[in-house]
Amino acid sequence: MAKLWLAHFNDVPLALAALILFAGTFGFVLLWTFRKGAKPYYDKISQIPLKDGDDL
Amino acid sequence: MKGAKVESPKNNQLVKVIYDDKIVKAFLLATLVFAGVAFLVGVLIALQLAYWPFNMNLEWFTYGRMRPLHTNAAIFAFGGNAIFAGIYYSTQRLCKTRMFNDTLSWLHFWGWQAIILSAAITLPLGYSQSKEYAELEWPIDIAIAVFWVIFGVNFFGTLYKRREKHIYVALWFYISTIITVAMLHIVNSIEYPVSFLKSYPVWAGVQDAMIQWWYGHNAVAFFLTTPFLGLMYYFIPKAVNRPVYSYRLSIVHFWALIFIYIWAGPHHLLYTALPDWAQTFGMVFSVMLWAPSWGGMINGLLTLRGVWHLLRTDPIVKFFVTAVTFYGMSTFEGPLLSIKSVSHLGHYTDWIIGHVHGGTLGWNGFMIFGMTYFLIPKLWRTQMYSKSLMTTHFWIGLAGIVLYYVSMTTAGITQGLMWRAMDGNGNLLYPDFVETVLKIVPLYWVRAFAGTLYMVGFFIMAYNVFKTIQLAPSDQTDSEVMVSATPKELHSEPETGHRRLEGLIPTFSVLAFLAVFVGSVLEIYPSLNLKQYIKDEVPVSPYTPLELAGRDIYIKEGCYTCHSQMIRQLADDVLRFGKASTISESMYDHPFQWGSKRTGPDLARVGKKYPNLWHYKHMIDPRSVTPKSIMPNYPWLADNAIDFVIIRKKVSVMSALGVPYDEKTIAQADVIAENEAKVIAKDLADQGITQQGLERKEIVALIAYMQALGQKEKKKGDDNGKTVAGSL
Repeated sequence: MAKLWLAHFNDVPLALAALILFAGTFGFVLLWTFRKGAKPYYDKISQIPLKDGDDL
Repeated sequence: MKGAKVESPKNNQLVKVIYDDKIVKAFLLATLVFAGVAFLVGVLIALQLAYWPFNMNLEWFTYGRMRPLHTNAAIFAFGGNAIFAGIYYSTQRLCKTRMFNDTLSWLHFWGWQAIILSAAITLPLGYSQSKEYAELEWPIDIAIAVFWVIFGVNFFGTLYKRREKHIYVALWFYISTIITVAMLHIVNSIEYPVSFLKSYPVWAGVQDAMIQWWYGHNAVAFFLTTPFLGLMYYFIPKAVNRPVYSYRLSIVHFWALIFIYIWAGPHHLLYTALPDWAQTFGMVFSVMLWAPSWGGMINGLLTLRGVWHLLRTDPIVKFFVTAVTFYGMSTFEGPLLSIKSVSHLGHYTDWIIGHVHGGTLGWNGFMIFGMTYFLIPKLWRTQMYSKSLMTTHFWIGLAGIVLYYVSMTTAGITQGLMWRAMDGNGNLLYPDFVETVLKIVPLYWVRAFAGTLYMVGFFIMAYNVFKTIQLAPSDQTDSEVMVSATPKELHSEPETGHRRLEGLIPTFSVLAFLAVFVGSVLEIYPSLNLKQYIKDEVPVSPYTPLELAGRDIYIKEGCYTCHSQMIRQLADDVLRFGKASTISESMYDHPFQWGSKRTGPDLARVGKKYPNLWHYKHMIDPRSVTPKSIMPNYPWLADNAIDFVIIRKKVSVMSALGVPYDEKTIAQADVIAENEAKVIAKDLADQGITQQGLERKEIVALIAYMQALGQKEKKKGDDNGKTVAGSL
């Protein structure tokens, strides 16, 4: 079954390039944003729209 | 006094910022005006499908011309103006500065309205490229690019002079919108002008299909999704006065979404002549979209943690929460429909129409309504005229969407099942296409009613907004705030990695561009080299000059809005319409005509299936040859004259684009076309059509084109076919 499914990716270099690109981008962003100690910083940033001084 | 510096009592340097609210008001009011237009035309075309006499036998009023008007009005006029209103409002506040340049803001506003007006005039007149959501002709395409760049300069200029160091996530979504829409529009609109309002795209056949649906799907992604997600990340926290549930999740949401979305276009072309690897990529990346889309939806909904009671009491929150819920539903159904076996059932049917409207009416529409109800009182410094009317609008609108979605999904699945149903001997159970159409006409009435409900809800809102503005204080001024003169540091640690990136506009923008560009190139580039897939030197003959003229009439009348020209590699498609379409058959089609909907049957092999007389009668009155057909009449085709003079130019442009016409054909294209027309007119005359001058009428050219469909592939033993003239 897996072999049959993989047979659709008949352009191996292209499929590999796509996979590496995706995994690299996604992995970096995931690791960076969820690394230890990042939460307090992002919690502060998430307040920006609530403190834009436009409380009319 | 715009941005004048003043000293605060504590000696911190503050500046007074006067936000440009007038431009936001202008875009917001334009949104409401064009919402009315888009919904009215939508209800009209729904009625035309339910009851064909609503086409009124009027040339500029038929479904084929009104449908592009509806989609363009809904996406670019209603959606576009709303996006701009939301972006202009939130960007100034997130950057704590006025827009970069007021003149650019107003140039953008009036330029965009001029583009909409041009579309409203040219589309009913039949000036169309036939590429869905990119129908507008080349001068308008250029105007779109120019005014989009003006918008981009103004936006990035505002980011540049911002007084907030960090770029909030909503702005990231706006950045990706501006960059990607520019790329999509420019690449998909590369065309060769024939005249002031006529052009042919440089792309042909499978290339054009691939690029069009790369554009088409990403118009949904980067015009109807990313900017709305930006608005979601700004307006929902504002509406409920709570920060977004997880800022870190929004970062993952952003990068994963823009990276994956760009690959998903080929799911519109499953089982077609598009190379298999591209189809598989489109399917796999579409399924992968589930994760970031739902991450975003969950992030939006959970922003209400602790304040869910607002859902009961605040109509604005009702609109926002329902919108995000529809986003979740649509982004679940989209990947589902992209799975090949599901696409087999759903593609070309009204299921897709239901899916699209779940997204536009539910997600985009309700986000816009929520944002409008949020902004109107703030901008006009008052309260909404009636809260109960807001709630009434919500429930009527929601009933409209649900009824629309259920009716169209039911219609689509019903028709899809009927198309594929076979008896024990492998014969189609419903070989007569019109039988499968008539079955779903009652659901077309339900859809028209549902659309009317949604529209009524909108007009209640329009009345509420009108009364609110009418009762607002007369001394209207722009918002003024005091903010710190220099960008604030939110923390004392050194910035590295992604945190540093979040404050670097050029680097961030380049990376966002690369995320969409690399995927685009990898997917599109191989299909640009057709020789990879077409081995014969000249496998098909190009259209004759009259067929080419007829093809342009087919495009002008919007036939592609109801008829596909792509027989999929599926047993039921082949049984019903003939041999599956090949990649070479459309290789000279500038633009491609594969279509996306089968309200009528596929036409890829309709050539020579019926005599000329059948086509003539079918155009004048479809019911004279197909009882109960819902196709409009096209009587003007027998009155409108063919422009023979321009055919020479058309053939010349096609030749420049690589279609193998010889010099003699180019030089005598008009004469050749006239001779072809005489042959068809004589055949019709022999069968009793006695109209004087028929050989100069558009209907003859259209018949020539219809008879050529599926007839251009060369058989073994044919000559090398370099000339068209020689074959006449």
